[in-house]
Amino acid sequence: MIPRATRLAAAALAVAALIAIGELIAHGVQASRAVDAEDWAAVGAHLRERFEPGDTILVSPEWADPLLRTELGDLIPPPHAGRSDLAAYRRVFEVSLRGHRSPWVQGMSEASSEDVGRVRIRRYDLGEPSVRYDLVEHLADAQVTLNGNPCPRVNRPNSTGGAFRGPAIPRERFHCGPEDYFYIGQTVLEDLDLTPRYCVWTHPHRDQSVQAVRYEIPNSERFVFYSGMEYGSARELHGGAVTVDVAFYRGDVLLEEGYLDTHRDGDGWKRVERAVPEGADGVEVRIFAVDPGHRWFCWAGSLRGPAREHGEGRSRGGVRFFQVTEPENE
Amino acid sequence: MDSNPGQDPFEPAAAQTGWRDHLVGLVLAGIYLSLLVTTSADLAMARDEGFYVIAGTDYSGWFDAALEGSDQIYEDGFRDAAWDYNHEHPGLVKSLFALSWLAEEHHEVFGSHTLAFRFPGMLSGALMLWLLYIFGAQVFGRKAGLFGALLFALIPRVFYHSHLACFDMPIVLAVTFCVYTYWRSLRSRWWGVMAGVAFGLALSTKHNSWALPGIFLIHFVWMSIRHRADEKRGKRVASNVRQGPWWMISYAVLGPPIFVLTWPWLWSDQILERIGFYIRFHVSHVHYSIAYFGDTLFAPPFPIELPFVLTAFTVPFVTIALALVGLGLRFGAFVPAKVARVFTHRARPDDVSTAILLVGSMLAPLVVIALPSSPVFGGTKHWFPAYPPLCMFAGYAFASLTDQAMFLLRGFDRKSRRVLVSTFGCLLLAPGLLETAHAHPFGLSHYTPLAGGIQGAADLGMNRQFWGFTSAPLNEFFQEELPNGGTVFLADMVPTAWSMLHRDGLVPQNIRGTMSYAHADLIMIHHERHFSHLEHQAWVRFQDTAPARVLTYDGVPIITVYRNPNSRRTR
Repeated sequence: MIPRATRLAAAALAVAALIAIGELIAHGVQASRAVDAEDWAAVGAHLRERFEPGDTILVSPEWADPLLRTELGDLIPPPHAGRSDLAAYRRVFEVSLRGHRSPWVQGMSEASSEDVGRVRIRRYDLGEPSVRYDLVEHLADAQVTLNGNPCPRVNRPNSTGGAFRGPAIPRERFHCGPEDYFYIGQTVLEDLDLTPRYCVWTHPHRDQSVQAVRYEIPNSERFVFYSGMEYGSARELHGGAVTVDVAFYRGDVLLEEGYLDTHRDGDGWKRVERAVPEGADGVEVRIFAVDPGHRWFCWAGSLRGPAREHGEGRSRGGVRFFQVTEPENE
Repeated sequence: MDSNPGQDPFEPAAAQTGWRDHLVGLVLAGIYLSLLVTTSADLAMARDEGFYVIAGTDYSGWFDAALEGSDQIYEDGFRDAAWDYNHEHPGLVKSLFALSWLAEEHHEVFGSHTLAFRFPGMLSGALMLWLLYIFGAQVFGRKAGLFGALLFALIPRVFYHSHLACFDMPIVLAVTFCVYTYWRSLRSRWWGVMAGVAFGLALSTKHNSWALPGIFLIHFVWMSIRHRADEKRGKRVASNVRQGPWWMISYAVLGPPIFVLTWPWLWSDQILERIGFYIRFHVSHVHYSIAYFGDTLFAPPFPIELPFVLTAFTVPFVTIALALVGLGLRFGAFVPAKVARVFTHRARPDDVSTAILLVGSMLAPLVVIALPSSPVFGGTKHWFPAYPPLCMFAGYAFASLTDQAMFLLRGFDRKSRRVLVSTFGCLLLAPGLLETAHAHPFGLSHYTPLAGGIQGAADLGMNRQFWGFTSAPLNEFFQEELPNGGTVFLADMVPTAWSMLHRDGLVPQNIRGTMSYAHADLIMIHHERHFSHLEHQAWVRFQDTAPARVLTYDGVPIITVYRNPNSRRTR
């Protein structure tokens, strides 16, 4: 007769042994699932063969992004890596590791799916892009003013950069001055979720001065505007709000102007949308703040045609529509 | 242990340790120290090590003067110049760094400056195994002591931190030594004196020690109440158990003087102001950013479960499981006798309530960090003092269960039984051994299979590293990229850590580390979520998102390096 205590002990030891064996196997399996350099090279070659203008590539999980860019960085320039949504692209390639699905393609049906080594590559066909004019991309064509006075366009390097110094100041930019950070230029900002966003840096100026960026635009139906505050400057939710107005023109004739949005800390990368008045061929984005201290503000906008089913981006808390100018901003 | 251990089938005999046991402890410590020394060069210096190297170097000037017998060491100006840097931490451990480095400077003992600074930390990790073996053997028996010490050695993050010129392993050693001496002091007045010395050394090591008197006081009150209850019921309390709080007197008499004596920065007429600064610094410590389930935590309230979750994610699961079994086996020691009798007849508390002491020592570091208002620094190292008692319980479970299961092996001879038990022990140690070996040199990036390994942890949005120590595997790459020298942006690495690579000849002098982003030939970025802006800065500056190199651990990016296209120095 085996004593009860011995039976219990033997059972406990058997469980411990199973745990140890399970842990050893799990460790081996998990380590072996790592995608190696050979697989990444194969993924690069595969996608390079299939990539066409109007395509973009993303990876899931997102932590693998540097590995994807090592192979295909030239096909993923900053505007792609810092996209706000997928409205500018015809097709999306999703590089998936270990069965992951990217939130960017949530709800979409794949047009194709192929395995390359330990990686699965899915293609999604989105159709004709809805974006007709990208305000970040065409910043060089814009007119930039501070309280109506032109901000000169400069092309000079800067000496900034480094930990906790905010987004890099681009070489080409509109300098509104006097400090270096009062510029309008293309950069990449990390939003409140630390996601990269390719955008137009506009640090609000002192004394509620208005910085305005004006473009000539093609015929469009919708104006989609994203804005965000740099992570470090917004995460403590202490900063002042930044107000954005928008104006539409036909030639020099003002068709409509008014309040578009107020960005507050905690809003994250925020989307707003409004209809473009018929016949508009110019748009002006105006930015100002009552308390501009440490407001590392950045925005991306685009003029778009009819919305597609997928890839248009979603506004937080539902689509926000144009509102009339608030009295205190007048 | 128990008043009558012979009646408890699950109770391994506590050992009266002797010189042979200390020999075992010495061998354990020696092997671990050798492993640490031989693997040290795989790890670049961590951020905090950089600060302590500066402090140690400053202190060494004072020690040099002291060794020469100079009276200068008592002069305020000279003393403050040497001891002022990094005065937010006490002087003892940094003094050991300084003395160790002086041994290298004067006698080339170590053959490496980094190793010289790290040696006292490594020695702490090694001595910890010795202490854990002896303590475990005295409480739960030799088998438990040995197994517990090995389990502790094979926690991947313990192995990593044991390399460093930091306070983390010295304070684990000091705290555990305090627990041990306090426990011994309950039966011996001589150990009461040792308890005071241990507390003084702990105070001189790190501020974690402030909590110790509180933990021991709770235990002491618990034990005293139990003794009185026993006496009322007519039970006899062992005559050698000290009811007087001698340890407390020893703490009060010996602790503060040792603290002051080992920290010359306090030898000033501003001593009270300086102690006040030291206390205020830690009471109102800044919060660091740390990724946790996709969020970057940076301000209270912090999740209460954080230290428990991170323990589960970083300590081999078999160790935790065994510790839980050990705690279960000692269940009777944690509850009133009446309750214990309902559930089990086993594991009655011993005369000094050792199990309660160990549980308190295990939970206190976890609970302190779990408080929503406690600064979350991110590292599991902050509750490392919980791991020695955890491993003691795991060792106890192993010893207790294998002793019991011996009945099944009664058909085998004694030698065969030992071989079988040893083999089984090796199986239980294998996950820790494999994970520790696999984690090196990415110790802080390691997560156990429970988290899905580093890939699973990255999926979950957990912290991948801190302190910028992971660059050592890139030393060759830097030399290939910058054959004629150049500059590397250091990101989270501190310049002192880079200069140690020069001093040890691991990177040529003409490849300089820089904190200037604009003038760097190579931009190194350690993947921590709140440093993501460094990577985005590179995209904008270079108008290119393609890295020159990505250093990975199990396929997960640890460091990404960008090449400055405008540099004439890069390959």
